[in-house]
Amino acid sequence: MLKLIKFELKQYTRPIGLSSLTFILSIPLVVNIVMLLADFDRSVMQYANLAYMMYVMLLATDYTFLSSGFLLKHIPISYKKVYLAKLVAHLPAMIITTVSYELLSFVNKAEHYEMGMPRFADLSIYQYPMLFASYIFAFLLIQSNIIDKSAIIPRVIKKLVDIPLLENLVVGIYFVLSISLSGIGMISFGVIFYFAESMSSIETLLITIAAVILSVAVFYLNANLLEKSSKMKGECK
Amino acid sequence: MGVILKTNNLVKYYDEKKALDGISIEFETGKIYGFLGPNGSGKTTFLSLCAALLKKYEGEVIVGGLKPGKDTKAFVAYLPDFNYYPGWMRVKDALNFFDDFFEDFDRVKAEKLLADMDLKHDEVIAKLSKGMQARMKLAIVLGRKAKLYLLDEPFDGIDAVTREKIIKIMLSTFSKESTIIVATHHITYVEKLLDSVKFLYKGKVINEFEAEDIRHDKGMTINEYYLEEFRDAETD
Repeated sequence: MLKLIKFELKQYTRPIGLSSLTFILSIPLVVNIVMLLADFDRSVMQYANLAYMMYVMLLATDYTFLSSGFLLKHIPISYKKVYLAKLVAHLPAMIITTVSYELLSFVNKAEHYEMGMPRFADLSIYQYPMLFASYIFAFLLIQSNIIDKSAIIPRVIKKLVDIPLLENLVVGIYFVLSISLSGIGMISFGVIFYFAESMSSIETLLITIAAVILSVAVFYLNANLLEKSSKMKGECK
Repeated sequence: MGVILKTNNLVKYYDEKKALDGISIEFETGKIYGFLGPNGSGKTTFLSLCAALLKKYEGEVIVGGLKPGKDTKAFVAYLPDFNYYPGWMRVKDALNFFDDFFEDFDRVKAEKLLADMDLKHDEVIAKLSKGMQARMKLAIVLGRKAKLYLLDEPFDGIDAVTREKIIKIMLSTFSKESTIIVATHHITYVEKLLDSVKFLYKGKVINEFEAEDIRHDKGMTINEYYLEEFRDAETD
């Protein structure tokens, strides 16, 4: 398992590289400083920071899941373990982006409550697992519906619209649905994040439990689908 | 000699298309087999099923006494006919990957094979030429001491001189405790390697011979026999 995690860590640290990572993270830093000097609207900047950090997380997700699927199918380890290693290895990306976001908030002198913007540092101890679970949920939705193109959605569409002439249309619908579903995942993450501060402990706990259950369910669904899938990236007929 | 791989009435569909049509076949330990047929005859599908990379099928597949799955991957070495390494990997990363995840991987042997094929450890696999990628894939897979090697078009993109070199290495390092199945439609490339041949067409095994029987009894090379057999074959 440790070897798998090590390999998965390389998956996104190697292609991005330390210099590229510094570059990726320094762009918003420079932009923030320049905009701050230019007296630009700080709340707009802060939303842009959040969006940019989401993009960096997606980039890491992309590298983690896109490239190694077929190679990992060869090793004598169950796909559930492989999948778990991918999730664990993804944690540093989440930590880096969280810290970066906090750093940008500091640079931007973001007055979060006035701006209606959340800050990780203000979350309660209960809200961290909730945030993590909702992030994992969003992450899994993205992964299953963009990267694994043999996921359940295209299969269902094909069953419903089994007319050869409409194949291109089916593919089109699938992509629209994939993007929408990933969007829902990211939006749910954003919404939970946004309202986290104003929630009571009970609400937080209930949402955390729901998010954990959903994450575990999606995890098993995905792992099973991937294990049975005959069309992972790069696989031949 | 024991049987390392056995299938019984193996059928595989891709949607409505039948890729394998009731294959019942056996492969014995200690031999090098040619699994020969034109494009679209089902060779890759058959190997993928035996390598446990495809799951849904009808009939039976037994590899080393087991159904294909996680456990059989530990002693089956599969070489796909395309570059399956992620773009960021270097040759040394591939070596480390196999060293980490396959107990039967012989690093010394693999490094020797890589050196024989003029491959340097620091080279990025995705930036290698098609021929160099083919050499690298083959060297790493042959670096395993597997019971069963499933090689799909192993010499595609490899020049004649290197091919001869590899064949020499394969013959000199081949253990009688293992089995090699080479799926290809380039018969001349593998002619020297083969002990037995099985001809596949439209998802069915249409003929099986010992290589020597074709050479002596029919007075033909395997390639000549293959050309005669598939002269009028339709291909995908």
